[in-house]
Amino acid sequence: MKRIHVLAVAALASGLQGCNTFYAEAEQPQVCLTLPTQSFTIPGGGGIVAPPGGFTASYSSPVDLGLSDVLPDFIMSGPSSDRIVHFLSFDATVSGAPGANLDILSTLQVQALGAPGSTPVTLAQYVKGTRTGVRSISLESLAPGTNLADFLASGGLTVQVSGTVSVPGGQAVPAVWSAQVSSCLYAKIHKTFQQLIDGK
Amino acid sequence: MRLAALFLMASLAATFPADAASQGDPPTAVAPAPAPAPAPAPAAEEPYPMFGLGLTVGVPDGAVLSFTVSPWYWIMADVGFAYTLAPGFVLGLEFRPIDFFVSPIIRGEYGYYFSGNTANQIKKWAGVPEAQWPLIGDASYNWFSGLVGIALGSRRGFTASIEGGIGLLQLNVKGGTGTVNNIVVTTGEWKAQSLMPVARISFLYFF
Repeated sequence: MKRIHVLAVAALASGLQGCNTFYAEAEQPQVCLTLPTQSFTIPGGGGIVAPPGGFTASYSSPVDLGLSDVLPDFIMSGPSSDRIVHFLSFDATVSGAPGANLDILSTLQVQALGAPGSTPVTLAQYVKGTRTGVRSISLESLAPGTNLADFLASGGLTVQVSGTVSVPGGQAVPAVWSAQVSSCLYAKIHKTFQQLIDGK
Repeated sequence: MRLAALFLMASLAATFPADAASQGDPPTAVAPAPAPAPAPAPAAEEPYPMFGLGLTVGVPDGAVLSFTVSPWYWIMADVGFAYTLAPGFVLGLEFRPIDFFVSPIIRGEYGYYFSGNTANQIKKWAGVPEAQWPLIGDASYNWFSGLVGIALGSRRGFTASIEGGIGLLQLNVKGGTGTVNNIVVTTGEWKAQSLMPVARISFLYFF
């Protein structure tokens, strides 16, 4: 091989090697989404009065955080190895008539659901205390370092909100409990130039 | 007759003075021949021009019009007004160690672009849907880079150079608040960074 050929191959190899060295990354430290009022059905509730011993039921409902609507595709799509999505916080705030509150909530749990058969990740948890007249529940993430990129489906993130309600005896049991739900997340993507060239 | 001869002899003596040595007269001092004039000293070399004006086109520099100061031939510092998507400036320090028509270049530079039309271009290049545009605010960017290259030309006039290297570019984008599909979204300050190849072509005139 002539010397000029060796130099050309070396230059090309260096350039290709550089394509894996050169990179571009984008980061959004905090994106907060406030969803329209969400309603969670209380099984067995609605139109009844809690018996003397009280009324207890479990609720569970998926909530689509709508990430794909608010973050660019280049962050939300592609291999999960290039992306990082962290759950930061969850808030539920009751709205509507004065005096409305979330006192019937005994527990509340937020979980990220992955592919069927995979283990869900608990993101936030609430247990009712002694305070009454609760109008807002603010929860910090229990898994701030967990990468939820693998839980993204079609570029979006759906969480399961579940828990139990408890209504003292003699009080009306509502059919649903409603609140304005908001959540904050962190997102980051890192791609090498080679990946960008390959369209990955 | 005798007086005429004497007069003639006196006239001839005045016209042709006798050689003292050959005639036996005592020797007289002869002025030494003047020393040859010294050769003219070579003209002192004019110092190199200290200032220059430059025009550069490159990545991520964009187009830059710069003013250069070079106290010695091997080093120069420049400051330039730059424009790509927005106005900015570029500061550079350059070494040209060889005083010859062809010289290698080692350069370090820092550049900063103020926010202008950068954010709008980012939204278009990144394919951000228009509904999400309120979430991306004003954007500025800055970079550090190291380059090596080669310069051709005269240090007393015009030089052209081409350089390539590596740069670290940082994009600073403000966040925003907007409503997308009935979801109120608030984004913090975006951060983007890229380790990338850089290149520039420059034309510099010293005066």
